[in-house]
Amino acid sequence: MSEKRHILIVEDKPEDAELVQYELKRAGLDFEVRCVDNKEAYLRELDAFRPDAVLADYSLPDLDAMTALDLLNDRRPLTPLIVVTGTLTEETAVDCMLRGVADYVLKDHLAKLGPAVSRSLERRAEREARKRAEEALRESEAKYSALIKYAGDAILIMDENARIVESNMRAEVILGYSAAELSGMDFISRHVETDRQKADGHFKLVSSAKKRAFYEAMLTTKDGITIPVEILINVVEYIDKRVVNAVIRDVSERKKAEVLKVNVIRDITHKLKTPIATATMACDLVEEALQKNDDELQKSSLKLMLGSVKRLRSDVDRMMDFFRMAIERPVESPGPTSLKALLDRILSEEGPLARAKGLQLTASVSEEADEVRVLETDLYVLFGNLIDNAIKFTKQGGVAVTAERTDGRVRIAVEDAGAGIPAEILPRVFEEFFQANAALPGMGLGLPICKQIVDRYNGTIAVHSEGAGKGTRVIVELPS
Amino acid sequence: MSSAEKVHILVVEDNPDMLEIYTNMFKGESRFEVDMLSDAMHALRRLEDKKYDLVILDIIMEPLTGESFFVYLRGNAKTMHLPVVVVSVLEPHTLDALKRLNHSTILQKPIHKDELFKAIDEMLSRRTNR
Repeated sequence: MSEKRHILIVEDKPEDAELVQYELKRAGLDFEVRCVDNKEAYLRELDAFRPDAVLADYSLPDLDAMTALDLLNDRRPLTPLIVVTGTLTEETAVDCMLRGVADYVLKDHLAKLGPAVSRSLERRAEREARKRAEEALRESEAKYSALIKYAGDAILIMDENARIVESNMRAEVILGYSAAELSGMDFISRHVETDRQKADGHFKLVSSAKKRAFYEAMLTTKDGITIPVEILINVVEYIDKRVVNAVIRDVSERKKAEVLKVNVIRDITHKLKTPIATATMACDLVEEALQKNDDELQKSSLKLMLGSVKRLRSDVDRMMDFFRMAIERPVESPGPTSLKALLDRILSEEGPLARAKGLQLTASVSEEADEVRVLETDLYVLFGNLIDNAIKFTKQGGVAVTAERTDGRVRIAVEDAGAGIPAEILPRVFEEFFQANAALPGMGLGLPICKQIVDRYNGTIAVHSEGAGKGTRVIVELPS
Repeated sequence: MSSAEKVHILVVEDNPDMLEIYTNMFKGESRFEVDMLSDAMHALRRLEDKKYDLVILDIIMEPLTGESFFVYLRGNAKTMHLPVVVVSVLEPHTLDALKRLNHSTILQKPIHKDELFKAIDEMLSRRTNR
C-alpha cells in the first residue's frame, strides 16, 4: 500500500519517541507519526489521527498500556497495539498477550520494533479482509435466502430420492401444502399419474449424470386440482450434501391466454372468411348464369357478391379502427365538432338500411349540446358503430338518438326497442372480439372501439338493458 | 321422377347468403329434394318426423352449434348412420373431433357446386354399398 501508515506513539520521554521513529525508518516503513503523553490527547488522536497502529509505553503516569488497549479496542477495533517498554516480567508479558496486545518490544532491543510493527500491520490487514469477507457472505446469505423465500417460482430442495427437504413460500401457495407438510413428501407423487414415469426418469438422470433437466408436467395440489407447470431440476451442493433442486413455475395463466388467443384467431378467421367464401361462390354462380343465359340468377348472384364484399369492407374497417385507436396518440385539444351535423350525416347513410327494415331513425340535439370537443373522425366512428348496432339488433319500432348538456358535458343517448342484452352478457360487452352470438356478422369490436374512443377524451360510456327483448340504451358523456 | 325416388337432403345453415347459394346450386337438379333450416335445434326436431338421405351441415351456428348437432345426431339410433357433408369456413384440421364420427365428409368454404355434388354422390354410394 502506497499510503503512509499512521502510527501513534504513547510516550512521555521525547528522546525515547525519537528512538522509536528512528527504528521505524530503519525498518523501511513509510509512516507518519504523532506522539501523546496523556489520556486526553490519546483519545483525541484516536479519532483525529486515526492510527493504523499504536506503540505504547507500558506504564505512563496518566495512561498505562492496558488502559490504552481498552480505549483502542472500543474506538478502533482490530488496530494493533504494541507495548514498548524498558522492563517487562515474563508474567506481565503473558498477561499482555492474553489481553490482546499485538506484540511487545523491550527498549534495549528496539531493533525488533520495525519487524514487529510490520507483522502487526499485516495481521491487521488480514483480519480486516477476513471480516469484510464474512460480512459480505452474511449479507449475501441473507439476500439469497430472502430471494428464495419470496421467489415468484416455487423452489424445492430434495434428496436424491425426490423427498422434499425444504420449500419456499411459493411452493406452499402452488401446491397448497404447508412447509411442514411438504417436508419429507415424495415430489414424484405430486405429479399426475401419467406424468410420474417421465418425472422419475428426469430425476434419475439428473442425480446420476449430474445434468439439468427441464420438463412440463401437471401437478396435483392438496385440493386435488391439477395445474400445468414447468419444472427445472438441477443437482446442487447444499451444506456438504448433494441435493436436487427444483424450480417450479405455474403456467396456468399462460396456458389460458394461449387458448384464448387460439379462440380469437379462430373467430377472426371465420369472420373474414365467411364473406370471402360467399363472394367466391357467388362468382361461380355468375359464371353459371352467363353460360345458361339466366338473367335472374346473374342479378341475384351479383347482389350476393356485392353484399359480401360490403360486409368484408366493413369488417376490415372495424379492425383498422380498432388498431388505429390502439396505436394513435390522442389529439391534445381538439376543436369543437358539431354533433348535429355529424349525426345528420350518419342518419343519411344509415337511413336506407333502417327504412328497409321499417325502422324509424331519429336524432334530436339540443342547441347547447351541439358542440363537443372530439375529433370528427372519432365521433363518426363512435356514433356510426352505436347506431349501426342499434339498427342491426332491432326488428321493429325505432332507433332514437338524443343529446343534451349536463354539468359542462354533453350526454348522448342511443336507444332502441330491439333485442336487448341478457344480464349475464352485459358485463362483457366491452371485451375485444367478444360476441354474444358467434354466428352473427361483425367482429365483436364495435363496442370495444367505442370504449377506446370515449376513454381517450376522458368521457364515459355505459350500456343499459332490462334484458333480452327489452331494448338497449347506450349513454355516452363527452367533454364540450 | 317421383318424390320417393328422389334423394332427400336437409341443409342446416344459418347464413342467409349461403342459403341463397344452396338454393341456386340445387335449382334444376331434379334428382334432389332439398329442405333448408337455419336453426340446428329445429333441424333435430325435423329429423324426428321426416326421413332424409343426407344432411349438409354448417358448423358455426347459434345457439346449437354444428358440432353439437352432429353429436346428437350420432347419439340417436334413427340417425346414427345418416350421411353428413360438413361445409364450414373452418380449416378441416380444426374439426378433427368430427372426423371420428362415421359417415361424414368435410368440405371447406368456398365450395364449388361440382365439388359439393361429388361429395354427396360419394356419401350416398358408400351408404348403398354398405
